[in-house]
Amino acid sequence: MNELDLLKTHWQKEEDFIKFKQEDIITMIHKSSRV
Amino acid sequence: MKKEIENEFTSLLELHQNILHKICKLYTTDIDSHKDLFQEMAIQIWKAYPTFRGDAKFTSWAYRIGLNTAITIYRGSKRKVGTVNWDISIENMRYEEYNSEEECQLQLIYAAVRQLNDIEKALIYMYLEDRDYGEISETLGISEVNVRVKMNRIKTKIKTIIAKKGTYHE
Repeated sequence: MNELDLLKTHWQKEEDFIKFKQEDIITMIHKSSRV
Repeated sequence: MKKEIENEFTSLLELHQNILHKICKLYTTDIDSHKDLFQEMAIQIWKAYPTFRGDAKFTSWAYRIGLNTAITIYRGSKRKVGTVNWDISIENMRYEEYNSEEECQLQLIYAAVRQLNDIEKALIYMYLEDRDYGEISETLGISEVNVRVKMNRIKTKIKTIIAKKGTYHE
């Protein structure tokens, strides 16, 4: 299995990312953009 | 009315937030920059939300804005990104436990991917998300032939980066 195949297999599994709540996202979108 | 739209948007983003976390995983090396990039992508997607047409899939629409935001940010701070070397990338990933040889290999591959430039990372993201060459070409504004050429170069580049470390076995 090459590197990208291995990465793809892993990528498609669910990961334990931080879970932002809706209230967190509301706060975020009202902040100033740096772009 | 604005509050209703805001609730609708934030509820959608809460549900599909993993598409943005995955972009962060490729572009950032620590939790603070992950959160910062997530926030910036959320702001940009919210700004563009009035142009979102319900007939398109929210995730397919939102990931493109997220990706372009990441490219813009990291292109604008090339020097800063360039100073993130291999050792720092590995160091910052130690919060993720290595449970097996495969997992260790995966961390090395992720570290190698983080050495790629902003466009190459975007290409990898879409490849991993199973986007076809036509969509990748459209999103990045390059020809399909160029997408194929770049993909081959990236594969070689990743192998070279890993080989230099001498710790990865196929």
